[in-house]
Amino acid sequence: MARKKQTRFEIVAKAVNQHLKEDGVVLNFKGYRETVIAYSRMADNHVGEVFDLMIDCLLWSNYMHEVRSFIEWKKEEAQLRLDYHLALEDKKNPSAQLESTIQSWKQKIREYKLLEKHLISQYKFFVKAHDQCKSAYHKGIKVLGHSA
Amino acid sequence: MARPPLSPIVIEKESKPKEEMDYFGFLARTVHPIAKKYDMSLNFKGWQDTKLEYANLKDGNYTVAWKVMEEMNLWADYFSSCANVVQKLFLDSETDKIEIQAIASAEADNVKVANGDRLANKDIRVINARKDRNGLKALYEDLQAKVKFCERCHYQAKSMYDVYTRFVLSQSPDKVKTS
Repeated sequence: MARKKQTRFEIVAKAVNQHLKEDGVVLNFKGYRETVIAYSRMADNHVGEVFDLMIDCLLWSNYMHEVRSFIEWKKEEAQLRLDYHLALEDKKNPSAQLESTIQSWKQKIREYKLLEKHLISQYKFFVKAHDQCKSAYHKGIKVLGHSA
Repeated sequence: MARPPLSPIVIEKESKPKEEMDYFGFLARTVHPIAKKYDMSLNFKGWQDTKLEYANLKDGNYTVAWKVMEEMNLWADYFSSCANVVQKLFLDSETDKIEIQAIASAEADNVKVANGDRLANKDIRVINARKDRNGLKALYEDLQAKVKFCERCHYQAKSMYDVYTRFVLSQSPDKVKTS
């Protein structure tokens, strides 16, 4: 069976998940792929399905924003840790271990920033998808009203 | 089609029952002690139930739509007032952070400003002030998004309610009056 190809968003989320696991928190996007597939296959004449998808998209937009706020907070916390280690640096006696810690925090911040950008895009995507479903739903209802 | 996970965060601590929550709940829980410092308590009891009601809303069920419409409007108002208070706390914490940072910087190096600022970052007072500010900022931004989310849910439930009551009204006006 062919392996599912991961999107850039999923790859970045997986990388950040490794950092979060250290703090005992995990990212969970179970159901994301199914919702995107359902949206891409949406038929505007199935009013009931469009209505359910409209709810799903709005719930996902809310979820993406929640994760985004959480990641933004984690990014700021990582920045705090990085600044702390930079303050410990002694320019006259450089320490390889401290330098490695600094680089590791810099890498974490880069990944948090990248995921944050992806999450903003995902949030916008689901809001737009919800709006599209809303239009399709109203159109469907009008058609049903005329045929009734 | 699939809904997002309801409680993706599980907190397990010894001698305490397992806690399950969403990211918003986790953030609110983290910020709660900070808000308490400013004599404010955060209470979002019932929010998960309302969100669940909306998630389970079915096309054509206009009695539930009425309830969701009403509750979402109330939550939008509540989140909005919470966001305003949290914004005030966030701005206050930002001012506190700048003040503490300036004092710590001057204490660490009163000749070179850049070096003083760098060294101030290992001062526990600066770390705590920055932590408070970070938590409040994240919660404030999420509360603002919650207001928009509730408004969208309200309008969706309202439009469905309008469509179906109009339809039922055109079929049998008495039925609507008595329901």
